[in-house]
Amino acid sequence: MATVDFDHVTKRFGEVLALDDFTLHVEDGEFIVLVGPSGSGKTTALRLLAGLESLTAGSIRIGDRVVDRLAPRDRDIAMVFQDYALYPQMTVYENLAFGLKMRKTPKDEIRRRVLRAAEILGIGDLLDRKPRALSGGQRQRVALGRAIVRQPQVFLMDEPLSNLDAKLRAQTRSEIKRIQSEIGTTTVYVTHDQVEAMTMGDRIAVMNRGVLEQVGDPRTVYDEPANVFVAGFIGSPAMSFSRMRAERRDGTVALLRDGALLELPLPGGLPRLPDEVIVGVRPEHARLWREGVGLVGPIEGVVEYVEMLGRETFIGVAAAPEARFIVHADPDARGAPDEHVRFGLEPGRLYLFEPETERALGRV
Amino acid sequence: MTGISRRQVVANYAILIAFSAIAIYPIAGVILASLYPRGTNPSGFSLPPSWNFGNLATAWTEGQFGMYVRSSVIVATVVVIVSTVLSILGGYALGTMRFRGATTVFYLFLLGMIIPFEAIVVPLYYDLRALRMIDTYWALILPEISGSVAFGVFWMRAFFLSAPRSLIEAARIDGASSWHILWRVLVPLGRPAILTLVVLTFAGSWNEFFLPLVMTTDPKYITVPQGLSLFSGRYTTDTPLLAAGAVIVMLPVLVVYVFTQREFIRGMLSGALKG
Amino acid sequence: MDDVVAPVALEAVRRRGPERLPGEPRAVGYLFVAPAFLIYAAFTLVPLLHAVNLSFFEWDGLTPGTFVGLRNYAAFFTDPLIRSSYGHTLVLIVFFSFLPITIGLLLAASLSRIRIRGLTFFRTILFVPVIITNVVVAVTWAWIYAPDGPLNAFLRAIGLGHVARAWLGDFTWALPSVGLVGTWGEFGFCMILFIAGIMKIPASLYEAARVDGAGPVREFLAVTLPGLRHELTVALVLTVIDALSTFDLVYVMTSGGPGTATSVPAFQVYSRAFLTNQVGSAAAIGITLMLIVFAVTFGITRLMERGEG
Repeated sequence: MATVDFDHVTKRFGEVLALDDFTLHVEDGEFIVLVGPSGSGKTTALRLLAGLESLTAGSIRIGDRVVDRLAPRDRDIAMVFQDYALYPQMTVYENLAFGLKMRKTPKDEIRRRVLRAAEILGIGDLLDRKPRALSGGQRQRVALGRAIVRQPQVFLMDEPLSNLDAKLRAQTRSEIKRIQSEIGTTTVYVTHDQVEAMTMGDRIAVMNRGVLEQVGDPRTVYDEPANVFVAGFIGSPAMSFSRMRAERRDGTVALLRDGALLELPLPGGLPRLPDEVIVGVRPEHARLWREGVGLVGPIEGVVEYVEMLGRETFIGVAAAPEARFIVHADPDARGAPDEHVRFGLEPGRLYLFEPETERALGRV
Repeated sequence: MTGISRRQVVANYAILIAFSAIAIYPIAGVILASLYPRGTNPSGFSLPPSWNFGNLATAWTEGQFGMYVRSSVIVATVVVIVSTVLSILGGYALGTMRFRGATTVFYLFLLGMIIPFEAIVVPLYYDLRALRMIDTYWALILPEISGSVAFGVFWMRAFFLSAPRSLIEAARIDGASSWHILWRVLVPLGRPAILTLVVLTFAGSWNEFFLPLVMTTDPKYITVPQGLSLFSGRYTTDTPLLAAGAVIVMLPVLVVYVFTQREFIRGMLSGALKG
Repeated sequence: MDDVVAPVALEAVRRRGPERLPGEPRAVGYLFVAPAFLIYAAFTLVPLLHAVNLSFFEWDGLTPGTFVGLRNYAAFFTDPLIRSSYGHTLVLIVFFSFLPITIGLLLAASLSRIRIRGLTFFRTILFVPVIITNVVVAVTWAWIYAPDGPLNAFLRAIGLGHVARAWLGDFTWALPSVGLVGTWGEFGFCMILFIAGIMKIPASLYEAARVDGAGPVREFLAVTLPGLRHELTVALVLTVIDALSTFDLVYVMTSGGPGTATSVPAFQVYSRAFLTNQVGSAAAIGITLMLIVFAVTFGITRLMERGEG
C-alpha cells in the first residue's frame, strides 16, 4: 500500500492538451474518485499513473518511487478496465492467475490467492468457465478479482461499473467500497457519474478540460463548490444559475433582477461583492412559496415542466428568460406547464460566484 | 416477403442453379473424364461406362506426381509456417506499436500487394542464379515467402488493430512482455484470422506456377502445377489420363476448400475489401 | 507560464519522434517487423530496383550488356509484338473484368429481393472456380475447347455443327476463348463479393424504396448500385489486375499462339527473358506492366471513391 502523488503532470496528445498541470496527493489506503465529463482528463490521469501513456511534463510517484519511466508491470498496480478486458480464451481461474504467473509466483501461492479472491467475490463456482459464458455482473467481478489477487500497492479503476445495468450498478458500488475498505488498498477510481463519486469516494477530485477544479471529501465539494463548474456538475438535479445585480446595503445584500428583489443578511465571510454575480441555487433550497417558513422571496415564474419522482417532485420554473430554477416540492404537489407559481429560496443557501472567473465568492 | 411473388422466387432459384452448374461443370466434367477407360474420348456429358479409378494410380506413377507433390508439400509447408510467423510478428509491430518509420514500412508492404510478379521475375532469376540457388527449394521458398508476407503483414495488422486495446493494456499491467502478450493473449484470440491466412498462403503456394517454371529445371524440384503442365504436354490425346492428372493436382486445394470454405471465402472477400 | 512550457514540451515530442511508452524498449517494434521486412525487401524490393536497372540495358543474359537508355521502353510504341500483347490485354479486360462484374451484379441484384435458402451451399459452389489451380483450369478448358471436346460435341448435338472448330487454334477465336475462361473464373467471386456487400446495405433503405413505390430497376439504381460502390471498386481493381498479369492460362492453353494471337505482356516477359535472350526488354515490359497496374489501381480507386460521403 502506498501514497500516490501527481506532481504538476501535463499530457498532450499532439496539439490537444489532455491534462494541464495536474497536482494531486492521494493518502495511503484512501479511495479517491476522479470525476468529470468526457474529455476532462480523468482517464488520462489514470492511464498516466498506470504507465499506459507517457508524461509530457511533471512527475508521478507511488509511495516514494518516481514511476515516470517505469513500465506498467514494474509499478505494482492493478487496473480494472471499463470493458473488463478479460482474456477470452482463458478460464476465470487462468484470468486471475495470469498476472501472478507472469511474475513467476509459485504455483501453490497462485492457487491460494486465486481461491481467496474468488471467495471474497463469491465467484468460486465460476473458476472453470470462460468469460463468454459469464453475465455482465460476473465478468465485472472477475475483473475485480484479477486486481485483488495481485495484491498491488494501488488499484486503478476506469469506469468499472458503466457497463452494468442501473440496479446491479448500485449494488456493486457498495460492494467495491466494502471490499476496498476491508483490503485497505489505495484506490484511484475514475467515473463520469457524480452519484458514484459521492457515494464511493473518501475524497473526490472534480476535473474539467484537463484541469483539476476541486478536490475534497464529498460533503465539502457538495456544500462548498469552488466554482460554477463544480457546483453544476455535482448534485442531481443540477444547481440552477442566474445572473443578478448585487448591492451591498446596510448589513444585507440585495440581489436584483427583472424587478425581483431578494434581500439577504450579509454574512461576515463575504469579503467583496462585485456589482454583478452568478447566483446558484440547489433544487432542495428552492421551495414553493409559503409565508412564515423563513424563505426569501417570493419569486414569480412560469412552470416549464413537472418531474414527479414519487418521493418528491421537481418543478422547472422560468422566472425570466435566463433565470430558470428547479423548485423542490412535495410528492403530491400539482402543477402544469404555463401555470404561474411563486417560490422562495432558503437563506444562507444561495451560492454566489464571480461572473468573470466563475470562482465561488461565498454563500448568502 | 411482401411484394415478391412465388414466380420470382422460383426464377431466382433457377438462375442460381444455372450459374452454379456453369461454375461446377468443368470441374465435374474433368473428374468424370478421369474415370473413363484409358484411350477413350469422354463426351463430357455422360457417366463413364465403368469407374476406372486406376487412371489416378497410372497418372500418379507415369506423371511422377509423387515427386512433384513431395516438392510442393515441402515448399508449401515451409512457406506457410515461416510466412505466417513473420506476418504475425510484423503485423503485431505495425498494428500495436509506435515507432519511427512504421508508416513507411506499412506502405512498402502495401505496395508489395500490387507489384506484379512479372516485374521482378527477370532479375530475381539472375540474382538467385548468382547465389547458386537455381534448382534448390530456396529459389521457390524465399520468393514465395517474400510475396506472401506483404499480404500477411497487412492482414495480421488489420487483426491486431481490431483487437481490443484494453486487452493488451491489461496484459501489460499484468506483467506480460510484448512477446508474451503476442503469443499468450493475442494469437489465441486471432486464431480465425490466422487460420484464414494459413489457408490463403497454402493455396497461393500450391497454385504458384510462374515462379517454379522459371526457377527449376531439375524434375526433383518441380512443383505440382508445372508437373501437370509437363504431363499435359505428353498426354494431350489420352484425355482420361490427363484428366486424372488434373484431378490429382486440384484435389488437395479442393479438400482444404471444402473443409475451410468459410475461412476461405471470408478471407478472399475481406482480404480483397481491406486491400 | 503555460505559454512558456507548451512550446518546449512540443519540441521535445518532435525531437523524440513517435512517443515511446514508459518502460518499452526502444527497438522492440523494429525487432518484430524486421524478419518479414528483410525477406520482403531482399526478394521483392531489391529485385524490383534491379529490374529497373536492367530495363535500361540490352542484355542477352551472358555477355556484358549495353546501356540503351529508354529504348526498351520506346519499344512499347514501336514493337508491334509488344503493342499487340497490350491490345490483347484490353480484350482480356473485357472478359476478365467487365463481363464477370456485369454478370455478378445482375445476379446479386436479382437475389437481393428475397431470402435465399441454402445460400451457403450455392456460395460454396459458385466460389469453386476461384480456388482451382490455374493450370488445372487451363488443362480442363483446353480439353473442353478441343476439336473433339465437349464444346464441339454440344454444338453438334444441337445442330450447330458448322460452328464447331478448334477453338484455341483459331486466329480469331483463340483470344476470346481464353478470355471466356477468365469470365468463368471471376464471375463467382464478383457475385459473392456483391451479395456480401448487399447484405451490408441497411434493409431499411430497401423498405423505404419499396414504400416509395420503386420497382426492381429503380431499386437497383437508387439503392443497390450506390451501396456497392466500394465492392465494385475492389472487383474492378482485382479483375483488371488479373487480366493484366495473365500468364498461367496463356502459357498452358496456347503458349501465346496460334502465331502471336494470344500473346500477353506477361508471356512476353517470360519468352524474352528465358527463351529469346532479350533480358533488358523483358525487364522493361515487366516494369511497364507494373506501372500500368499502379496507374489502374490508383485511377480506379480515385474515380470510384470520388464524391463519396
